[in-house]
Amino acid sequence: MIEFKDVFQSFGGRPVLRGLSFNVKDGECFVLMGPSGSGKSTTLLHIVGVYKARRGEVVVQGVDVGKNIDNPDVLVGLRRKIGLVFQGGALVNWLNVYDNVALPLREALELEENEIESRVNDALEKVLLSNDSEKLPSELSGGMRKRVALARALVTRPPLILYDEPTAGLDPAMSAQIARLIVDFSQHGVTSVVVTHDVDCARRVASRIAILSKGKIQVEGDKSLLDGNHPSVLEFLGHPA
Amino acid sequence: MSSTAEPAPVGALAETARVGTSWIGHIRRSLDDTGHGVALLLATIQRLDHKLLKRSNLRNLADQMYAGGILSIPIVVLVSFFMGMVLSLQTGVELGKFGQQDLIGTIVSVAMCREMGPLITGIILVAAVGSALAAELGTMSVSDELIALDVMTVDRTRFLVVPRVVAMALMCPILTIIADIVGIFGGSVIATERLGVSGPLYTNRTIEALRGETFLTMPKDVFVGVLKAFVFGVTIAIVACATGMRATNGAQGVGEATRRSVRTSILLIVIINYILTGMFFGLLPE
Ligand SMILES: Nc1ncnc2c1ncn2[C@@H]1O[C@H](COP(=O)(O)OP(=O)(O)OP(=O)(O)O)[C@@H](O)[C@H]1O
Ligand SMILES: [Mg+2]
Repeated sequence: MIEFKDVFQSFGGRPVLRGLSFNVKDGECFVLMGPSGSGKSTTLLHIVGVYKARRGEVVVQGVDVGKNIDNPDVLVGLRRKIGLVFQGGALVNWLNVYDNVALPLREALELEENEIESRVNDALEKVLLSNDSEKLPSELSGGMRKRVALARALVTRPPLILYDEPTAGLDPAMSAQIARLIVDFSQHGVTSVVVTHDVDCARRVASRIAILSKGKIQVEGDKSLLDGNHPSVLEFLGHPA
Repeated sequence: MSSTAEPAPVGALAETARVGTSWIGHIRRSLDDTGHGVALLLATIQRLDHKLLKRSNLRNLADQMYAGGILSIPIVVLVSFFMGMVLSLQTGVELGKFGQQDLIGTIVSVAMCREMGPLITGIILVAAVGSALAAELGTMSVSDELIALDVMTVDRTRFLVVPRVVAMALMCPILTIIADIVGIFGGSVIATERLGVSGPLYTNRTIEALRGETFLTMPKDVFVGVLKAFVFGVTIAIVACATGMRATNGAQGVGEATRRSVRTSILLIVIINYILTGMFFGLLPE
């Protein structure tokens, strides 16, 4: 479903991705971990066609993203199948919580208001924000904004959801709730890519874990990877080698 | 010993060249912004359709008209009142030398409606609203919000630009009419209190000057000003959106985008004003 083949990317001459390759199969929950600045968010933005790989190929649901990045019809078609939870939330600051979540339904899918209402309320319930639907983003904590972003990504019911640090800034109970949500979606056939620093979250949701560092995947495996003693894992976890 | 720590003497030629290149840089950037503005204007025009009448879009439009127009009324009123007084004083003293104070009403009203009203309003809106729009969209650009709209396949031109442009296209003419009225009133205060013109005479001169041909139910001179104001409103919003949406590099980039937006729109407004004035004197001869 998602395939990175030897992808290179650099910003202002500074290389970020240097031969990144990995696969995510349908229905899988793929967890991407790695040090800060290693290019995890950048990787997600390649999947949705915001960036074009300088070299290599990114194929998502059979679409070669790089080749179609200037083809609006193909790109829109692909993006409608993907929900992306931004690391910083990226909410529209003059719309309240309800309207932020309703935004893709109103402006992109152009659904009827009553359909929108039931979907938005459903999504807000899932992230435990039903009582805050009237609040503006400026009145929310960082963790709440994150949950609104999550609701906004899942309200369109996409078959593929990309989570950028879904549990950063959340208390342990809320993190556990979000992790349960991710697992729940996974079990209903949604393919997930989860970028996270949160080892607990990774253990809860992952069907596969990969460590991104120095521009490529250093090691990948199942949950037991985190208990192993691969140097990249130890380095990431901050244990002396 | 010529150490590098010693400041090199700045040659007059080098300094001139530096200033020269920075001028060229400014002009080049303004042309660049204008180019992006024209492209955005075309995209905006393509999106003026029935969807604008959707409830959420109308609400968005009303918010923009409030933020961009209604909130600017006090400053427009104050500035145009003083400009009207100055116009009256300036022309009144000169006309007084020839015993022609009677004409103050004519001159103030025509000058306000054709030139000063739209220009004052345009420049106030560049400073008060255009800069805020550029900063707002610039902040969205540097915090991933525009990318988020793209990824959700929300049309950013339709969602962000259309309501702002339509709001400014409507509010700038309305504010201009307010500026015209207040300016003419400011002129009458000076004319009657300081220059010894009787109130009824000033009023009659004003009515006489503005009477005559009408376009779209407006006196010709008012219509000319309102049409200018419409063009200014569109220009200000388009330039602000085009520069703001291209902001990069965090808070500093937002500041730079705002500065560019103000510079480019002021330049465009005075140039467009000159062109339109020339056109109207050509097309609508006295
Ligand atoms: N648009 C851009 N322009 C220039 N540099 C960029 C851009 N996007 C990312 N970078 C750089 O690429 C590197 C990787 O950034 P990225 O945001 O992908 O890291 P990350 O792994 O998500 O880090 P974190 O865990 O802190 O979120 C960083 O050094 C960043 O400065
Ligand atoms: Mg990141």
